[in-house]
Amino acid sequence: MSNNNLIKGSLQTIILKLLEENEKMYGYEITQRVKELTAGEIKITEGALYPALHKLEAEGLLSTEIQQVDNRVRKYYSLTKDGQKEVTSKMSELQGFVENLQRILTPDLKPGFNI
Amino acid sequence: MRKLTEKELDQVKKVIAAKELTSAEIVIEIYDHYVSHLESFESSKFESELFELEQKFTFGYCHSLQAKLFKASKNDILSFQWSIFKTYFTWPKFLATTFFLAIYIIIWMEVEHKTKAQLLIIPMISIVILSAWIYYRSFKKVRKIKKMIDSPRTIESSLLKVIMIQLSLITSSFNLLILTPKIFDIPEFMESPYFLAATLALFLFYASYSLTLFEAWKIKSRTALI
Repeated sequence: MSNNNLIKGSLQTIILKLLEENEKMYGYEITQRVKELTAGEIKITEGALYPALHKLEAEGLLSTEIQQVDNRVRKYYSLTKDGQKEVTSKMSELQGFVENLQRILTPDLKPGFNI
Repeated sequence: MRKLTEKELDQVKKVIAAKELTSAEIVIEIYDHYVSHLESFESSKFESELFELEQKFTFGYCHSLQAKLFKASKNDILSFQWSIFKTYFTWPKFLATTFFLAIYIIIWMEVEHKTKAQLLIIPMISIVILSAWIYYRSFKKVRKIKKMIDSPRTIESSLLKVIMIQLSLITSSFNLLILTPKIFDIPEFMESPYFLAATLALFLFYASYSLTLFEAWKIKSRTALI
């Protein structure tokens, strides 16, 4: 499914939401979790994932931790306190957007419609 | 899920080394991504999957990721310093800083020119010692990665690079402060109240700058490669 452009705008929210549900995750794990949750319909490209993770880290929303795993070093990401607050606001922002989009796509829908 | 063989791991290390990356954070992230991905495929698919990864993690992409991480690390450290600064100067710390500055002024007024020059060198020496310590700590952490990926370029932490640049800016500014009056041949510049005011202002600025940078390093060093 070619939905890369649609995902681009919500990538940060997806990352933050996943990290809210899982205490800490590493890059490859995030791509696999998204694939698993959407039955392979949404694939986060590495080209977009890592710059987004680094940006969120620089904004203070994510913190990182280096751990030794099976003879290699792994970089784990987790939410900071600011990141935890940001998830709620990003989620309601995205939900609001989806609701409005739904209204545009199906104008007959009642205004109180919720996803 | 399977474990990669030594031969396969060597092949992965070789392709990553060929990217000539210098950021330890990017190297470990890409290496972990490659190995995690390849471990989920049968050995018969190793070559084709490695090729697929190479199409995604191209030389250009990896270097752009590295440049972006360096920029992000710079912003990260600066915003960290700012947030530390906002909470660092509690009343006891503020009073302690004022006390040390007052002692510094008294000594400055009393001592000879030679001692004044020595006084200016003290913070520079402290920063050099601090830089050496930070570099050594990071070197110890990155040593294993360097050994694992036999890259033609020097691998070091992106955060270390940012901190080192910040520290060298402080020492360079001190040099500038000492050398500027000499360049313009200003006589007895150490007696000038402007010079005292400038050193004091710079001391205040650098004290806060280096203290917050040190605190940021202390916090970051718990989990990062510095």
